[in-house]
Amino acid sequence: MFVALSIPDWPTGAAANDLLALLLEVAPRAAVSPEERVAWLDARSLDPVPLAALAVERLTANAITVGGMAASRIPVVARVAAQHATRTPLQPLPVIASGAERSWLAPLPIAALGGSETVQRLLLGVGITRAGQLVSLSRESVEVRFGREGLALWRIARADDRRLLFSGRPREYPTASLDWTEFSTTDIEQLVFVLHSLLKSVCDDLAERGIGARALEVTLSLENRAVHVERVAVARSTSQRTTWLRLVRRALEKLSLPDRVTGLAVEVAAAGPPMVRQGDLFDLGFASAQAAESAVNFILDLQPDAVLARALSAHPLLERRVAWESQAQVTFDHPLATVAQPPALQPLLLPLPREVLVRAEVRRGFASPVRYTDNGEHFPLTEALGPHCRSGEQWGAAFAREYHQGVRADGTVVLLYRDTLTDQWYLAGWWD
Amino acid sequence: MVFLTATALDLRAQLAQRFPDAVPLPGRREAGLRTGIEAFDNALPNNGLPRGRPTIWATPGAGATAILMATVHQLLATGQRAAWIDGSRMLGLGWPDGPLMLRPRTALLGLRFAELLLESGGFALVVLSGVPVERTTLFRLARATHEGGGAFALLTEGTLPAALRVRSRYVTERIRYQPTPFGDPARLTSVTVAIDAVASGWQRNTTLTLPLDTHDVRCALDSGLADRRGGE
Repeated sequence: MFVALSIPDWPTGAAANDLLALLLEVAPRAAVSPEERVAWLDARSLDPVPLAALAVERLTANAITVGGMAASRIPVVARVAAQHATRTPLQPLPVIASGAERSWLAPLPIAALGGSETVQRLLLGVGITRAGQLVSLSRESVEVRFGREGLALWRIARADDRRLLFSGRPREYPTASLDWTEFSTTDIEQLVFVLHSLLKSVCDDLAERGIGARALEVTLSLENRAVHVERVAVARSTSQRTTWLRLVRRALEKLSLPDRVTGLAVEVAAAGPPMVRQGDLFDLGFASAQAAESAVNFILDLQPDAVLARALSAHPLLERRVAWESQAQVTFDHPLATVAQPPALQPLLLPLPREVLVRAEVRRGFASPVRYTDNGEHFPLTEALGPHCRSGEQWGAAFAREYHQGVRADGTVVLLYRDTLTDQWYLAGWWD
Repeated sequence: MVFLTATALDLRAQLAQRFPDAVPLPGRREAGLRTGIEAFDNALPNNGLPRGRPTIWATPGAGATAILMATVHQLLATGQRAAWIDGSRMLGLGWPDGPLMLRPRTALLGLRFAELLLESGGFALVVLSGVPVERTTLFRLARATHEGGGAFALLTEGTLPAALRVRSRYVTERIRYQPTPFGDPARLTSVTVAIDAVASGWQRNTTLTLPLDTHDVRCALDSGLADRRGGE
């Protein structure tokens, strides 16, 4: 519930500055709108009647006259009601019940909703004299006939106000501090000793709340009454004391202070939900899906075709058998039905087969490689298996190849082929 | 096995008490990421790839792709996520459906992808292959790995510092063939790789026999015979 106080004679100068302070003496939160000549009190979880009475009393004592007041769950309704009440002597606070705002506004004259004289004249010209009549019109007809300002009045008449009068209250994060007056120090070990205790208090508090810190501020009070603030941040929020101790210690070791330290304070500057890492004791496998998806989405922003999925075909040529399709979206919310497989050497194929020099000998009518030279380096083959012959393509570029598996002296298994159409040798890839 | 004296144990306890944020010994780190290959896991500190620290597999490394791909399978089967950044653009035929496959346009993008995935903490294992990594870049990736808490395997040339360094080579005398009826080798059936795992205060080696799946490159219906169809 919000209480609106209409103040027709808006104070000026120092009195205007004092207005908010006076209101804050009676209400936990207050706001002023000099353009509308309205002051707001946050009466949520409070009884609005005594709160408003106290505010009026305090303002009157400071020579500020309240013309009218009203309380409603919707700020604009409270404002219209309070301004409408200025036409009569100050009455006890009217509290507009939740859900009855629109019906409460309906009998009010159009002028009570505010707006410029132009739009008021336009509305009166078509016979709309009450708020209830305006509500009965459709949004489109109001927008077309009366423009943006007419639409704003239509929204007010519907008790439609989505603005956030009071923003959320910032959270208070854990802090810990220790000051010592008997002595001062510059010894890093002594400071770390104190930090141990302070960080334990802060991290235990974070863990109890189920959050992790993303940044800590370590304030060092110096003997010359100066204060040095050192900010330490991590990429992933955590409540682990050892992590923070290591980072803070590293930051302190780099510091050179103008005077000796007489006190330490640790304060959480930024916090967030603790990231779940894969393989944690409590990670059920997909608890960190959000983190994984977020990282992959960032990668897709950097390179839209970075994430690929394989599409296999039955093309006889190895380098054309595998096609990679880019994935526009990746989700990790479903487990994959896979089974563990024993390790086996995998064929690695060059994106484009590389031409190599081969010394071959004829074996059973086929040229069989015994040594190849790649980038000026010679590789003798201890064994060459094959050939596995491939040929085809009637409509496109015809191919005819003889594939050989060669075993190099160091044991590496390579895949070579001879293009029988050009009599050139190529290195297609190897196994690893 | 090394037996520590009571004085050494006492000294270690005092050091741990005085420097609680010091880098712990390999034996005290959290459980490693199991690859599902028992012989390989036993050769690694804490029976798995280290979490939160990079692992470097020196290339050319025999069987590195095979073992890491089996690890990816193992992770998927246990409901975890894995990603492979393929800078060389050579993976394809044996790639399983499931793990995240990324192919960066440039090496710099590959490093950025790795950092993002590692930092997110949403992947149990991120493999980076075919992207040149320098020492300074590795430090940044190591920091991202530490923040994310997952395992990071980097297939790269050269010697770079890492929590775990793996080297592998083929045992040439233990390459097995299936012979033809004429006695010639017709098909490679398996190879044996020798693997060395080196970490701070840790050095183990093991051997693994890996099958070689060659059906993709063959058309022959009889696996015991070379396919001579379609030749000249």
